[in-house]
Amino acid sequence: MIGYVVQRILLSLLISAVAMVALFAMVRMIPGDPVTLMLGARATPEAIARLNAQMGLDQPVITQIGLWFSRIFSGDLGVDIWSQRPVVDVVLEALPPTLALTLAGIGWAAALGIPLGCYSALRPGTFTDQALSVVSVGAISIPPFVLAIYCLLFFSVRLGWFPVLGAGEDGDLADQIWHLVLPAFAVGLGWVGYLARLVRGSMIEAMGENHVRTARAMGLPPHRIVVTYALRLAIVPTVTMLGISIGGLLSSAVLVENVFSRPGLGTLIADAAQGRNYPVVQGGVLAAVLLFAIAMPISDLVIAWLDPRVRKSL
Amino acid sequence: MNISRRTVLTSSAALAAASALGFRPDQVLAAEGGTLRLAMSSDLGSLDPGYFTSLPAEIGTLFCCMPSLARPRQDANGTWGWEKTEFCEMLEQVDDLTINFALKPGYMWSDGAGELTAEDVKFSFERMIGSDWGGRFEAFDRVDVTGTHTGTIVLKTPYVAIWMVALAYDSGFILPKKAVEALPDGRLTTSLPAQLGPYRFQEWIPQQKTVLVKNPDWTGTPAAFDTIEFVMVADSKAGELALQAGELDIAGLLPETAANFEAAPIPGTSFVNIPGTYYQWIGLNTEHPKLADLKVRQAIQRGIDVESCLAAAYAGLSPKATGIVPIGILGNRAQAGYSYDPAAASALLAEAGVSGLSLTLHYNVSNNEDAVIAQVVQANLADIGVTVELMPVDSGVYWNLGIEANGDDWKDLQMTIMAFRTGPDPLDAMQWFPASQYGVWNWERWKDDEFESLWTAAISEKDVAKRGQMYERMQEIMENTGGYVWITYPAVLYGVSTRVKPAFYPGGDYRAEEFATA
Amino acid sequence: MFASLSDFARRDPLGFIGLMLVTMILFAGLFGNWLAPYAPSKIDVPSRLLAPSWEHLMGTDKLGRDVFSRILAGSALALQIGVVTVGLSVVIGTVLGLIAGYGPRWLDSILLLIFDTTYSFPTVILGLALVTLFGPSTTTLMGLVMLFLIPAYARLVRSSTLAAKGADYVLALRSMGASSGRILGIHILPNVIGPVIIVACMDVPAIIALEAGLTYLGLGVPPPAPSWGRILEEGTGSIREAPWIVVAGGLPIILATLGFTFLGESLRDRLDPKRKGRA
Repeated sequence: MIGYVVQRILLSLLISAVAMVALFAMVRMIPGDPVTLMLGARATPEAIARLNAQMGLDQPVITQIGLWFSRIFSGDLGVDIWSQRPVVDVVLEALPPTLALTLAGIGWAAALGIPLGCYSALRPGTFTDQALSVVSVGAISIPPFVLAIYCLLFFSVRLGWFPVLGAGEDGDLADQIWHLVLPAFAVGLGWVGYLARLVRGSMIEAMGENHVRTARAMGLPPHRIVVTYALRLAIVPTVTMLGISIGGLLSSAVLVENVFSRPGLGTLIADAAQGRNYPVVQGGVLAAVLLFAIAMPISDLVIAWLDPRVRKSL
Repeated sequence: MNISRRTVLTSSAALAAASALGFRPDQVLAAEGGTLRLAMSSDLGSLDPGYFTSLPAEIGTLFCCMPSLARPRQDANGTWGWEKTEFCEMLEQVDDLTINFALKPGYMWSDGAGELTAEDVKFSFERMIGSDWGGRFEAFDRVDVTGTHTGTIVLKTPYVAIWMVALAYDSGFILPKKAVEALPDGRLTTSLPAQLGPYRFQEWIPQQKTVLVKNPDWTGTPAAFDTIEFVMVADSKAGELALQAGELDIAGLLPETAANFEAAPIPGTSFVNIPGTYYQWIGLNTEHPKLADLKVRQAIQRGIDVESCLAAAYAGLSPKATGIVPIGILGNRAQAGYSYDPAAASALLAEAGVSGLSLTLHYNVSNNEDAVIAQVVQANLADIGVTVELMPVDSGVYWNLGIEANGDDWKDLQMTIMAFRTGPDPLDAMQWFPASQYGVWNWERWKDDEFESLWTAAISEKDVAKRGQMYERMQEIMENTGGYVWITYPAVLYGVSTRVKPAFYPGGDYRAEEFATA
Repeated sequence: MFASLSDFARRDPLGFIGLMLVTMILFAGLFGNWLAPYAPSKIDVPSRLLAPSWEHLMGTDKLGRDVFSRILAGSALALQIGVVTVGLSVVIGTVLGLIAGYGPRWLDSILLLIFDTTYSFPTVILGLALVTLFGPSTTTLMGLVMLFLIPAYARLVRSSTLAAKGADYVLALRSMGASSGRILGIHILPNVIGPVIIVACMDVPAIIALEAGLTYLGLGVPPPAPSWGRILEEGTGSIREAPWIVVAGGLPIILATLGFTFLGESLRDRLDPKRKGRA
């Protein structure tokens, strides 16, 4: 088991490294030049040369990749070419609001979606099941940015219950939570439907497994069967899905962050990419990839813990 | 149904839930009295006038917290000129090459940086020469300090635009010499080492806001608000909603929304339409084989229905352009030399013996309006038998398309939707088109001798009326190359809370230091 | 098996609704251009932003184009983006997932490394990179989507395969000397394909919605193509001035989601031998 954990973590690190090299090369292949964007129409040859040297853009890409990787270990991700601040600071500032948003979004989605899925699965084909199906599938289909705008229109403007802009005052947790409600709702709603459907499907399947049927035949109480036997198995595809969906979550976070003018990693990367702010793009992507690299082994371990068959095959 | 937010909260279970979680109901209301909240679509980058991007949050902060000799002011006709600031006792252009100034004594920098002196002025202007914005100071020679508070600005060559392009606008800020020299590599970043103005820069919260507070030591014209916040608003629709929810005092509006505001403003807000200082056109590469024939280019000039473009993209709220010098700036033309005439356009194409012409049109995807204009252009030109392929590109690609030094895209560039921004002097708008800009920012790729000589002569022409005529003639020359279809000077559209009285710089930038409570 | 459509409708009403909706969308996709009352890209600026009427069932947009005609014409594009990409991704992803899950450890590790590396790229960055490299087009968008779907399906199939590989009946089959191909194709595939089909069916509309998101960020199919995402995106800018555009753009996405999901589940129930006659 320990060997498995170590192996998963090493693998994650390897993935991060490969992904970073690939992204680094790709980001540099994108046409467009930060210097022109930054200096705009006032670029003089001297200013261009100075900025290029400052950003290390006058060196071959291979050298740039090497330099960048050699500096990571000392915690140096370079300098934001617009504000001249260390990229580490820029990324570390953007990370908490994004983590809060994605965790809150996925958290409430799981808390509601998984029970709904189980509930449906236990009475397949009934009217309740079918009504829940229609509602949850409907929820999946609403793009988060449309939902976000409507939330603002209704809850913020019409009712005035929640704020429109930003992530709340620094150091004021209540204010930050208050600012998080609508964005988390917009990020999570689709996932409620998604998880409910996923869990319903695997749950129906799990209820048909031999040991669950045996447990039923032995007359164990239904809630025990559901929680101890069926859900344990049924949740496996869900956990896999959640583990690998960090990238997707970050993407819906970008859309929602944009509507609510929230700071965050998604917005940071998207803006930096448009401005060809390479150090920030690389730093932001590194953070995103590391998030993924952390989520992956966790989801693998959870699966191994949940499903004895997977554990056996290790 | 328009219940106040407080009523809703107290009357519903939400209040119980909210207070249980520690929410303060008073936060639901827009901050009253003390705070002015201005929407910004871009974040602060740098506060150094030599190296910033001149984004609204940057110059807004500097205008509030830093001194300068002169600032822009609009005359009764709406034309922009300059006036001296309260930091100046005297400011006077003695002759073509000499400007004298005298600072009022007793203005003290914050953070113990001493008194505002002529040395600071010398330092601030001379450091601009080698900066990223050095182009604006090309005619500038030096500043001679003649006393603690007095000095003389000396130009190398006559340069009438020095006021509006350099001294009286966003390149004219005076920095505290000692405090700046003490900084690593002598540059400001995202903080100010010492300040002097009605407000003080307090903090910048990346991706969120820039906060200024009333300067307690300020003895000049008093500040109207305790706090000013430049708030990041990434989505214009959200800005409008925040304005309505009372979280902002002013926000940019999308044209459709603005049209609605104009007809029936949302209670508590009013609508402002300010002539913009961007100038937008469709450029035709005069050297491209498909467009090499002047008649073809003239056909396209006449084949595009600009009125329709404006109705569709700007809800008809933006004026039709007549050249590149926007309304309210010297040299603005009354009328373009051509108009929409599809029959004439078809005739010109026939004359040129061209049929089945197919062209590409590049535009920047970041600008929603451009996509709409592109589609109208596509439909208009289809009517005269020209097929247009739309080429949306992201801004990183877009701004390099026509620059020879940055790749090969310029070779096949055909039509482009372009917009530049100008300061309140025609020279600023015109500077991207002389021969030296061929292959750099002159993407229409033409050179013209008369244009060159007018360009040089206008730089030192002191007779305002004559100078204006020169710039009008230059726009006519541009138009006659057939390389330009003038679109608009995009109007700047704001919704403003009736709580505040707004003030603006040329082009609609917030004049935050002059905002007042209504 | 259902004897007739009415029997189908009675025994599996959601599946039936799904079938009807998907048929409707397929029909619109095939004949949309022909059915549309106006040319979908016909600009008529003077009649811009007209509210829905008999003349314009779903009103007009800010270029004066008939929204209903654009929605109809957009079905073909939506199907192309949704069904074709998801279908291709399922096939490729399932094969790779089976290989990874059942094959030797080293192969599993390599494949997993590739899946995870691809999947760890943030969509938006990759989108921006691809779109700027290859230009915005339907093909670029489809490529981008496949790049994310293939590893997702492969991973899903892999973990179910791993689970099935350890199951008693597979161990028994192996000890009896059944070939890997036989075990995979006949015994494992039907067991692991269920979740993939559900996910894939839900992904068809999710991809259509993703196109809307990418369009919102300026990375979608370029205009004047009448994609549902673009109609929706254009509509959100004027939700108050012309609310019908968002509704018109959102409705087909919702219907497509309902249709594909229910059809997919009905299909899965019939594919899965263990579930016959149950759900």
